[in-house]
Amino acid sequence: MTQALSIDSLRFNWPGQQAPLLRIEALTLTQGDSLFVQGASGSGKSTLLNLMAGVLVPQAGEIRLLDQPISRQRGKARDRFRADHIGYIFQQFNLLPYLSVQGNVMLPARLSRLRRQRALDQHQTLESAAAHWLSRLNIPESLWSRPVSALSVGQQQRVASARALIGSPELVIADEPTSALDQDNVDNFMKVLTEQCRSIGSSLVFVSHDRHLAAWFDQHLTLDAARNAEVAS
Amino acid sequence: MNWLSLALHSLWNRRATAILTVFMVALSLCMLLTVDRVRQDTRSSFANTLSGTDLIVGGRTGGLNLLLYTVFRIGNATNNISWQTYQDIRANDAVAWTVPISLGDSHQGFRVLGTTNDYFDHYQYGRKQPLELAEGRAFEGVYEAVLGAEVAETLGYEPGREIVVSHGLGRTSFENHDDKPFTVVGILEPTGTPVDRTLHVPLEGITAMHVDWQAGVKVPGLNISADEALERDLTPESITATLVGMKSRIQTFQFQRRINEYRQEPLSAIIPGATLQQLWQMIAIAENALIAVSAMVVVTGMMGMVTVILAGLNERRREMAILRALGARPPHILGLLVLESGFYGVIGLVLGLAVHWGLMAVAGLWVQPAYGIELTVGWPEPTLLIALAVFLTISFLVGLVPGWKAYRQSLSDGLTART
Repeated sequence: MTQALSIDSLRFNWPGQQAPLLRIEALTLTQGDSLFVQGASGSGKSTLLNLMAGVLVPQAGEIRLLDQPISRQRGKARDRFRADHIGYIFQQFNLLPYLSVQGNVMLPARLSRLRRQRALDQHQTLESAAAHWLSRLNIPESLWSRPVSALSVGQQQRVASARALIGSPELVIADEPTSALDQDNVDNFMKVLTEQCRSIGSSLVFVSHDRHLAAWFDQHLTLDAARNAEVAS
Repeated sequence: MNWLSLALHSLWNRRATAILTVFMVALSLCMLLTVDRVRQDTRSSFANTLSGTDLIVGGRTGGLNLLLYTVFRIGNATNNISWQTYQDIRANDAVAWTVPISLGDSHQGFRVLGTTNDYFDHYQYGRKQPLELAEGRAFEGVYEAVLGAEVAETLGYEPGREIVVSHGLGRTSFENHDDKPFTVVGILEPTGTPVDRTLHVPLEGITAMHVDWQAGVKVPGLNISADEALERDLTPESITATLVGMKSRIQTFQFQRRINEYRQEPLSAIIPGATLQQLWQMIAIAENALIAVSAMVVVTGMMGMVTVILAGLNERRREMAILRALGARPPHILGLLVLESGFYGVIGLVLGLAVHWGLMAVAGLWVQPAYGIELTVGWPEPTLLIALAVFLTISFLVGLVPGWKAYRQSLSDGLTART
């Protein structure tokens, strides 16, 4: 079985820091399972996401994504891997203001040949692929060609999810995507995001300080103040 | 969608700033292009005005002044030369031909030039092009006029039309030679030189107009009609200057010295090309200053452009992080900014050229009639083209400054830009 993510003896610290900011001994996530990463501010959540996405590399230890040692690859290969296999959702302001809603959703398929091919295999055109994901995430069709500024925050986060899911990447990483949403929207958002990730067999790595969301996930990782990661399943 | 298209979309999103920046670059280039073009056009239009004339002889005056009033109709003669002296020059063995010139009157603001039919035979402009009649003929009688092309066009005159010459050079002179009207008998082809703005009349006509005048004033009570004037001896007492063609060019310098040392009357003889060269040397200082200022304006425009891009970087951290998340590499980010800066350069140059051409075309409409300088629309000269190529290259290269900053920013921000 493919491991979506596996971490071994990971150490990371910023230049000049004595103690490592992040220390994770072992973590594995089976492809298709979801992981909830919880921790207070400053516990290294963002750093972990940057490491997983291949933007940062650890000083020691290894991160493997889809059985590839991403942390040991060169920058160019890591950037390519991210474009091909990772859908990324930010806390907020996910969308490029100069593209329409649909243009934003199609963007990953235009920048990655692999995701474009997958989207075309499933939906014939990129437009219909974008339409598919936008309707799955409950974005009214009347908004598709609108500028992103016309959308509410909740809608923007769902459009960002559609963008993360187009071309069916194996891994979706979400960085506190619900922190700007109200409670009704949070439940709605969590429901569609986890459902749609499951529908294409993507693993979802979800970071939040809100422990109430943990119930949506298969595995949990807590980053505590002592910088020791505890893994629970 | 490729990176170029993304960069353009991003730029369009910031179009207010982008358009102003493009205009700033375009206007700075337009200024440089225009200054250089006007410089070239001035030179060539001066250089093309007179050709084939070896010497210009007039009363003792500065060489430049003599050249300006005889050929370019700029300024006024201070001294005349006597008819006797003119005959002496004409009779010299070394001299092939002479064309007398008598100035001082005008018609509707256009200068009237008294001469002989030799003018139409020997006056040459550009590359030894002779004057050609578009309509009519040269002088046969005393009260006849041959018009420059622009005079005829501006005033709508045709052969057969009667005109009255005014005394002096003002556009609205109160003193008209209305008792001795002239008839238009010919119109010259356009030459692009001051000839176009001149009315030519026979020397005898000039004399006839002034038979009842003395010292620039009409003698009260003395009225001599046009027909009565014809009865008199209309040989002029003096003329303003004469163009001289030598039998052999080698004799030019020797003859010039002889004239400058002429005993009977103080004279000046100049070689038109050499005097024009003096003019360029004087003007070159001002020209170089203008070019230097224009170049500095271009540099300022480019610095403004870099400032605009740098200032916008902070607002765009978010955009960079999104692009990074989608797989953009830090070199892509750098490339985006180099592309943006180069885009300003390219579009600025295209727009600058367009504005420059438009400006030259429009300005030419009133510069030509007012100053006789023909403004041309065309590609910049080779030296300037090289300078523009350097400008384009630099406009891409300066993108490395904000590009490098964004590169560093995107490395440190990663996917977590919070702004």
